[in-house]
Amino acid sequence: MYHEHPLKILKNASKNIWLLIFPLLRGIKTMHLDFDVFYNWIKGAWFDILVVLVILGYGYMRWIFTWLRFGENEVTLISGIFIKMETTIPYESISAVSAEHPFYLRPFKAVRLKINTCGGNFSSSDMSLLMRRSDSWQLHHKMPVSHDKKKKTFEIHPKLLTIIFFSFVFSSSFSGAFYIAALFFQLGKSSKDLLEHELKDALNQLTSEVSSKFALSIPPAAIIVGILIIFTWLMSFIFNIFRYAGFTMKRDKNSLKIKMGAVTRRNYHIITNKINYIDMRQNIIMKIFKKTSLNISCSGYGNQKNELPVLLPILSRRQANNALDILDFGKRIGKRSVKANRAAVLTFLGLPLCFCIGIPIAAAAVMHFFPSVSELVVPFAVMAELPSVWMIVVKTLALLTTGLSIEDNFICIRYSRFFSFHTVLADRKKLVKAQIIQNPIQKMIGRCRLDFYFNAEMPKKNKLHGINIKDAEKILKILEMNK
Amino acid sequence: MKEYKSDKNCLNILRLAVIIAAFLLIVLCTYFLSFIPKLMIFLNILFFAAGFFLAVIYLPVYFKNLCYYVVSDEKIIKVSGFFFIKKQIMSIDKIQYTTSVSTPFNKFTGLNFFVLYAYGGLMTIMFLNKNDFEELSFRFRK
Repeated sequence: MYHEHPLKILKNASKNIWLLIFPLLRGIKTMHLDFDVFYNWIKGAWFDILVVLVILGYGYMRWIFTWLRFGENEVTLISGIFIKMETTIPYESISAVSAEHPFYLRPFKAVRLKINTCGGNFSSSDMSLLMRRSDSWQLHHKMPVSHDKKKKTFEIHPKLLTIIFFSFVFSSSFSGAFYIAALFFQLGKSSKDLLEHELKDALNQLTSEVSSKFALSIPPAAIIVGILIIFTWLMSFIFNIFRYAGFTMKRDKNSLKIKMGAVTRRNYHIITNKINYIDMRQNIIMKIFKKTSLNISCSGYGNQKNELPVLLPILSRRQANNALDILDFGKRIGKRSVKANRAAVLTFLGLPLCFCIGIPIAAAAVMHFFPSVSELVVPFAVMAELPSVWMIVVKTLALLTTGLSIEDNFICIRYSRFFSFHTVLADRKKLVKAQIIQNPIQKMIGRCRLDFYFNAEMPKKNKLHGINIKDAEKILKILEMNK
Repeated sequence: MKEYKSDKNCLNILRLAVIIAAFLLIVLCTYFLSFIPKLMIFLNILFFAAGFFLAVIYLPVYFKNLCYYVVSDEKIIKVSGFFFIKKQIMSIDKIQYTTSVSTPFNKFTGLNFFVLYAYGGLMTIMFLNKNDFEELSFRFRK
């Protein structure tokens, strides 16, 4: 039987921090009476001290009544002072274990351990613990062991340049904004002052400098938006470098061990037979350089916000094929047996073309009816037009590459989602549902959308557009027959 | 196949808790809202009706319908509901992990619970007596 790390006392105690409202109210009251007299303060502080002691005492009691037991077949967490709660996870059900070592926990030799299975809550871990580092090793020793001696062992350490390239292509302004919001949220009130004064002044100064230096006639609002986009993207890029720095992936007989992170060191232990499918992601830049990023779908890995389920950050096609072979997925990414119909141009390009044509028209209309804002409309229209043009390029490539193949017991599908390209490879046993979707026009011309759902904690729809209905029916028949 | 029924003591405790809660609400309402008689009477009738419905109609019927069957260590079937009877079946080998919750004096109160987490869903097993709770606990741990 093990207790969690004693730091948990503070975490338990923090939940009752609201109780400090009582000494605070009392403090306000005494301030009116006579707050200069130190003796009186000491005399009156007994209640405050008592409340703090109650909070800490409750944290201590919760810690002392929380036990972790590593049994022969299962790990059990027992908690609760009056109401006893016992969570039992068999080792065989564990899909992934993550151990986080943030810099502030390292001096205390504490580790944040998260145990995940294929069941339970989608967004949170099934068991989350703050433990002593030495105790956490007990769990690693108990993880299921495969007795297949044929399985290969290998280790990969991508170079720093690879990590920088990976961070560059997978950074976005949205995730940057999320990081910044999280940072400001953590900083609390001081962030409010920072936003109200320093940041506002700095932004105003930067905007005026940019417009004067380049002699631009762009309105300050558009410059501010541009600067914010670049800044948030840059933040996302920096955070990604810190997150994925020192990435190491090691495959042994039974599991994948992944280590990453510069400030917060993260160790993942993934059970290979719990991997649902492999997703090879690319964007246009990666397509140009013929590189791919190998991701996996596994409960407990890469499920958190702004976290990518990356297994191998950047690979060439040959390296990717070798990696798949080592991961027991074989070299099954071959030619597509079913392809998207080349005539399905409107299915792929319809929406981006609408945006591409619609944005200038809308901008012209706004400028015509509201000439006073015309200066502001042009830069924003250009900003909105760029992603639309980019989307046309992406979807044109998607038209040429969408399709699927079935080889042995594996299904390989290629499609595009927003600005990225996906090549999903899965065992057919992991296929949960396949469906054909047709609108009335597609019904007339004999085309459809083919959707695939694979086994996953949060199932994703893998949509193949512009497939001939005969091909789709043939695929469903093959999948049905061989089930 | 073994059948597990909900604990009768638990039903009586819950009925008592509902009656006490309704009584307290009526007393508080009468004390604080006596200067608005119409609202006070309306709320008192509402609390009385809710308490009566829960204690005399809903809980006994729900407990009567609530039943669990374990079929030869393969699957667990839960039958529950008040007006609409719901039947849930879960394969025991698909259970990923379990959480059990037991309260003080559970031998007398029957306030024992299980949550079974499986692929894509969960099943709650409620109000078992202590013996059944321990027996099932042993079964799920196997």
